[in-house]
Amino acid sequence: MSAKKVIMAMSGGVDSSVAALMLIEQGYDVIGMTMKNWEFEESGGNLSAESSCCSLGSIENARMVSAQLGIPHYVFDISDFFRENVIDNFTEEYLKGNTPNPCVRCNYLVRWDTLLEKADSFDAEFVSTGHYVRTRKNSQTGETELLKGVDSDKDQSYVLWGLSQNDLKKTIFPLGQLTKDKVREKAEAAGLRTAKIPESFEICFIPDNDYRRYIRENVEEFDTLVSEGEILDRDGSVLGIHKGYVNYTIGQRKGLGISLGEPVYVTEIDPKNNTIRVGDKDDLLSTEFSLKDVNFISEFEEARFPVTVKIRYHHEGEEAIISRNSDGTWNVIFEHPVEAVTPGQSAVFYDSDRLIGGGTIL
Amino acid sequence: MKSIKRIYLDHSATTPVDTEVIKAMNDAMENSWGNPSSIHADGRTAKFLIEEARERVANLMNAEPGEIHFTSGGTEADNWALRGIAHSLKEKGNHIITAETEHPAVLDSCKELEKEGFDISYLFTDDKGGVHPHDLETEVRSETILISIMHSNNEVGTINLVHKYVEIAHEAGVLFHSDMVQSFGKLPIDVKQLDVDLASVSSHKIYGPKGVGALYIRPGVEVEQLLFGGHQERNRRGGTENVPGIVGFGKAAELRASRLEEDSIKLKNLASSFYNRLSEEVGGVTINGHPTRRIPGHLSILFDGVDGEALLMNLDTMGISASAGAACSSGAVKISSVLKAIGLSENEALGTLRVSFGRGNNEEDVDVAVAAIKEQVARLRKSAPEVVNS
Repeated sequence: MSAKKVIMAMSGGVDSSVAALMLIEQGYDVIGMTMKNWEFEESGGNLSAESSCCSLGSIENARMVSAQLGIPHYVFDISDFFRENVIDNFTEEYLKGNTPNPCVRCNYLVRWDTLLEKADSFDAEFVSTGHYVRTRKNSQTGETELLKGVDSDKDQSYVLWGLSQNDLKKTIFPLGQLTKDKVREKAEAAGLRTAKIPESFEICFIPDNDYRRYIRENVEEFDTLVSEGEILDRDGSVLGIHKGYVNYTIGQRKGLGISLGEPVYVTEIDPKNNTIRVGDKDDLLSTEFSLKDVNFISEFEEARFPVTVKIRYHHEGEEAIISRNSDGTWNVIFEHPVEAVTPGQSAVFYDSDRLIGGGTIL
Repeated sequence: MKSIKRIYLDHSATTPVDTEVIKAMNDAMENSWGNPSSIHADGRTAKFLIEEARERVANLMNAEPGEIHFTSGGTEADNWALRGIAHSLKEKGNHIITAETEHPAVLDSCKELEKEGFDISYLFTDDKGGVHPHDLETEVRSETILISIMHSNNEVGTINLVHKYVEIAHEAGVLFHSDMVQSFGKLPIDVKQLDVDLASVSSHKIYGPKGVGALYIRPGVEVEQLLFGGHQERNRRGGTENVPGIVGFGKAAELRASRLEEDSIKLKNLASSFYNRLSEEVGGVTINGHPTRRIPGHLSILFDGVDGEALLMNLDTMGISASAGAACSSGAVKISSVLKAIGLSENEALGTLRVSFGRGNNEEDVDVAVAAIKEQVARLRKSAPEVVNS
């Protein structure tokens, strides 16, 4: 009958606003939605971050820009679903000494499921987000491939490795061909009220960006679970006292409270013995690690060819061979050692611009 | 922006402002902008208008003008009644009785009073949303100072037996307040006959402007002040009057007085033809609330196997405005506590759509709405066997 319907995930920021605008210009029938992931009042901390995704301000921004664009907009409260799948895991992982990536989890466990469910209920063919990534149909394999965004500074494919073929087939990423500057330009040219909203880098449910405070305030009996312990060197000698292991991440240099005349880095977090281990830069290097929760976006034959593996959002990526272990985990062996492999973070595999898959570092 | 002709079926949320009301308000803003408290002619002109409006509002509930106190809306009127009486009578007792199906303006006021040490009883209702007089009778104690029960329910539309509750209250020497926001201007209301001590009403449910309402207070009833800062409203509510709003409210009340009967027949007919057609053409529908003792034109309909939220939003994209659960939850739909209170399961509550007709609707709107609902319900029943919610 009429134009094709798309459910657009509006975060209240400039990216999703421009993505919506572009779809409208392309003749789609766009329905805006914002997921309310957490209770603003419960996040604690010093709340000033207007830009934070899901804050009251950002839901308001999404609503206002939708009105400006002339599209309907609905807010869906998915806070229970989000808490179960993302927030609870976030604190649990920190207590295990890991450094989780909640955005990755949210995308493949919460966000796309919710979007597709709403698409179903609105009889919409597609969903859309403002991520800087592209998709491409491979005519030979029939698969939808996920490609990095053209703006290499902004590429967000790293957080989308958990998506499925079905997710990708139904998703339009209007911003993949654009640079961030171009997106702002478009927003300003169209007079969108979200044009000047600053970039948000923090975790949505921790708007003050202080994850240590968040864990301290949100873990029951935090004081009995987390207490001071020893900082050890690589040989096991005690160098100092740490303030509770959840306060440290692999590779951390600042705030250790010990001075040895040369910089030392956190190389290991051991919740069982309540210790953290430090070492020099070389101690941070490793060439091999394993992965769980591995997902392949493209059909993947067990690796005989090297792929590029990114172990952090802003990591350049390093050549590696990946292979399946008998227990279902996967092994990554780098050609050259990489620095600060951090359990809980994602390792994502690329073949040039194409994202092949990813997993969680063990 | 696409322009589709919209059909508005959400008059229990709010109503479009009548053109005559707009005219009266414009005229007041242009020509009667004086401060009603001023001694000079400009003040007197404005004062005349608010007193005229007071007469009109009083007239629509058979009260005396002096018993009408303008407020910023139904919510303030409810807050004032509950807190005002509780504080005035705290020496006499600390017990207040209300019902679990009240509007949040009453319930949340009660919760605040609980923090101050007041003891609140929340009466259960039957599965139609009505309070049984006997349940009230057994709850009254010697410390009871106030009973507050709404005249009709904003979600399921059931009309309560207020005159019976008042009898029970007065027999025990207890004051009675009623939130009449959903009934005022839609049903004949006579405060003298009902014998209530306080009643809250609102303008925007009767084709008047938002931001204005009134509290009826029976002469002799002491109500502690909520807003201080002036001698307005006979020393009971400080603050320069919202003259255009009050004028609009007055005009709306005057219009309702002449239209009430005719409209209520029309709205009853529209609602019944709408519901009959849904039963025949869509099927799997039930009315929540009382089948007959209901606000004219107000329907709370349970659709078997349908996510009411999805239905509401799909109708919205097709140009039809209705409501699911209660509207006052800032865009995010939460399951209505009223629907829970009348015994609906979570899925049933989620499958509920509230449709409320107004004087601007006609049979053609019924045709379009039924066709749209038919289309959407058929699709949603097919695609979503389970209602998803946590």
